[in-house]
Amino acid sequence: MVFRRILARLAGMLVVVWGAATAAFLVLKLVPGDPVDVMLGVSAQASPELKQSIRVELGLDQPLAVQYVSYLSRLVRGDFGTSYQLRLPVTDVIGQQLGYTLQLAAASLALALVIALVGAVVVHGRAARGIVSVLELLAISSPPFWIGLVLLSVFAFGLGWFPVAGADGIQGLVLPAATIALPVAGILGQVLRTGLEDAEQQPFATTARARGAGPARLVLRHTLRHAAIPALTLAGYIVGSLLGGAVIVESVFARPGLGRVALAAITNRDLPVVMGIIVFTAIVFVLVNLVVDLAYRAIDPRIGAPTTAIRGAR
Amino acid sequence: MTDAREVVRATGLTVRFGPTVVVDSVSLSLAAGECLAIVGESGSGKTLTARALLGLLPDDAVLSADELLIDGVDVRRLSEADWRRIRGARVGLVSQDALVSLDPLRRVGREVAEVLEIHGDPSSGDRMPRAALDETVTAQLGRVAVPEPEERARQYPHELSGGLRQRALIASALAGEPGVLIADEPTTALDVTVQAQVLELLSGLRDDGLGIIVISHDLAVVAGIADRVAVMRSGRIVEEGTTVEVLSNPRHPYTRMLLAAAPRLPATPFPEPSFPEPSFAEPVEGSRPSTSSGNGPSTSSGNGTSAGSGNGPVLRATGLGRDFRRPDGGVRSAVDDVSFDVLPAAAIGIVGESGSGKTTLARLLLGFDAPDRGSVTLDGQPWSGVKEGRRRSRRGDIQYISQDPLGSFDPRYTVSRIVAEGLRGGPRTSSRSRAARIRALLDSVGIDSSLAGRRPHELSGGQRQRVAIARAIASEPRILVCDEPVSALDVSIQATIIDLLAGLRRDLGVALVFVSHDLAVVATLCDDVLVMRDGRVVERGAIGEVFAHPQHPFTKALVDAVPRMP
Repeated sequence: MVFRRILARLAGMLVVVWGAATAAFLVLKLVPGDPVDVMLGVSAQASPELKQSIRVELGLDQPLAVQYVSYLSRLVRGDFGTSYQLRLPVTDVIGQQLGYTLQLAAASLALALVIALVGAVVVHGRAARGIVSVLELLAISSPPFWIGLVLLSVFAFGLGWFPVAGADGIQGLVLPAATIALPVAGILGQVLRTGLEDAEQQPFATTARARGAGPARLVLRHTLRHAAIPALTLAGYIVGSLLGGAVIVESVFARPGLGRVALAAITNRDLPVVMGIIVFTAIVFVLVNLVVDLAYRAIDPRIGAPTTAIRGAR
Repeated sequence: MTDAREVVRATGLTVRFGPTVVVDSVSLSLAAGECLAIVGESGSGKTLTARALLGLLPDDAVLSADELLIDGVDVRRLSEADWRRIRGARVGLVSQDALVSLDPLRRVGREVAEVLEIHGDPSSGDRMPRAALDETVTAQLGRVAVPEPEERARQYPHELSGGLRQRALIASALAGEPGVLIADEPTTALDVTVQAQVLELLSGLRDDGLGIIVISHDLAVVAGIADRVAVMRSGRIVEEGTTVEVLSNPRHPYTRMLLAAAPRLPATPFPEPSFPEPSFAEPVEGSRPSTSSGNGPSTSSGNGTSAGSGNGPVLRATGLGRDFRRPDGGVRSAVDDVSFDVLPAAAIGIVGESGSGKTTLARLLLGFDAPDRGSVTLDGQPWSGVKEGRRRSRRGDIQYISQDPLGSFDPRYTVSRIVAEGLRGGPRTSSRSRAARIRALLDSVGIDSSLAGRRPHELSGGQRQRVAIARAIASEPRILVCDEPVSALDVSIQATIIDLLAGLRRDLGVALVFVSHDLAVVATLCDDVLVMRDGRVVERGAIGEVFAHPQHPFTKALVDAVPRMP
């Protein structure tokens, strides 16, 4: 039973990645313009014969179906093709830049969690919640590039605490991470705080208080776990924000990373890199969803258990 | 018991929300080894009184008292930190439903251990090492008669049965060895047979020297366990005395009203059924079993195929079965081989404990769910196995009344719009005659027309159920299927809703299928009863006969477990 469920789950994950790969392939084939022209650059004076030989070399003269099948079979073998622009295997391009983006994403997530937890745990059920929730709303509704520019002008240009650009050490990471973290912290904080307040209204919280539990114990041993369940549903949104935020933040702060590569690949029509990044992103999302599902089960033992009728009779 | 140590003493206990006084100079005292019951209806202030004894009033409540001693400690001016040393160690709390009163995300053993983690060893106050903690948890679960306590400690609340969960909740309140236990509706969420066991456990603990304050809406539950009873109404104790005194010779009119309103099984020597043959599902006028002596043809289930709306059954269930897949892949029959007829204007009770399949059966009758086996006919025409599109025009003939009317209302609708919903699908009429019809419907369920503009949350529980009934009878149904329609209501309100249903049956000739866990309510309203267990009908017959001379062991256990007044 369990084994079959895991198999079904893996099959589902493969279908999602395959779908993303296929969609990427089709969309990029439909985009107007000859990739060979793009590769050679506008100024290049290449003869039609040369262009044709490049096309043959890349397999672009084949029928679409043949191109699709060979693209998929290369994907399965882990071969994402070669960047038209950089003349490097796509896996190398992604591999080189991944570290920077991971660093940024991890720092952003950590910062967002800290801000959200402080905003939720300290403020829940108090008068200050009004002020904090306005701040959160502001953070959620501000576009990241604007947050980035404001942070830059205040803390880099104005106060000079942090460097304006570059990826040097922790100092250079603070402002970019904060730019991505603020909107994420805003929405996460709201969900956590509402979850905490809901859990505190539950009868088990009264029971815990009647045992002599103080507020710290109540949050750490009881209500925070309950609040974590709705917060987990945000995981997909958060990963999207981290990756999407990287595209903007790496440009605003002139940092290397996957986001910059993606942006450059799109503007230069470097199709293998774009497709590689799309498939890579799909894999990340599928894995995150798997982790979230496992986390649900770890936090809430009732998930996957036989449903128990909750009777309302008094 | 008067020379025993006093563990709770309160005089002039008052709780205010702003200018509103919700608990008004309540005085009570409790000795070790004594059980005091505080009885009242919703809004009487009984729960707030209990919370005051735990220092757990809502933030905006203001407490004052001339005297308030818990286990000898004056708690009137305690800081929150001081209260935390009292709670769990000197006074414990058991509340209604362990499924939500124990943290559902934590193992039962951790919940029982928590009070020991907070207060340390009850005898010395020292921090307890993990091994000693586990040992004490096992001992405490064993003390409340939880079988295989070590294993249970590792399970989660939802993995235990209702009775075991409630025992575990009691163990978690007792682990700190408090002198006082406050039990707020400790058995209300339980089936009657389980309720009897938990009450027995509590009285055993009382005999061992624990002081218990039971908060309850149910006088009969209290009668079995309490030494003294305090009756609360609108924040005041209107009557207090020994249990026997108060129940047998109530002095205050409110107590008398409560006692009179409580539905009960008719005193045990039932009048021998006067009708020749206890025929099932007979058409009957009125609601007394004694008046049901044979008029009309006795239609036993299974024979007779009369169609149309003449004297044939309004509703006929034949060999109904409904299966559900268990998580382990097996199949459980929630309803299995159930057959019965409902004749016009008959009232049939379906009783059983939770999980017996009564709600699934009700859903099959209503056509909300399709049977795996057997069939339902409505007015002689097929009802199950018919496409919903073709069934819709006949839905007005069979209506549903739920336990929770609030959940069945659109919260933005006014009362009159809610009732108007019931008229949908009927003949088109002018808006004036519609308004008149709505007024008449509200009038017939005893809702004043001044309430027609209110929204559901502005109504009391009883008013909501009346509005739900008005909506149900708007389409002039031939049969009402009621699923626990009064179990969420106070006894005095319960009685009025039961009267209303009985009156509608008499005046409109509507048949009733009445699903309930409460034998006493069924006995008051119905002529015939089906007793369900594990999806099957284990016993059926006329109410008086079944409850006075139960044949099946399960029915006997069910009848015996009903708490009775002395």
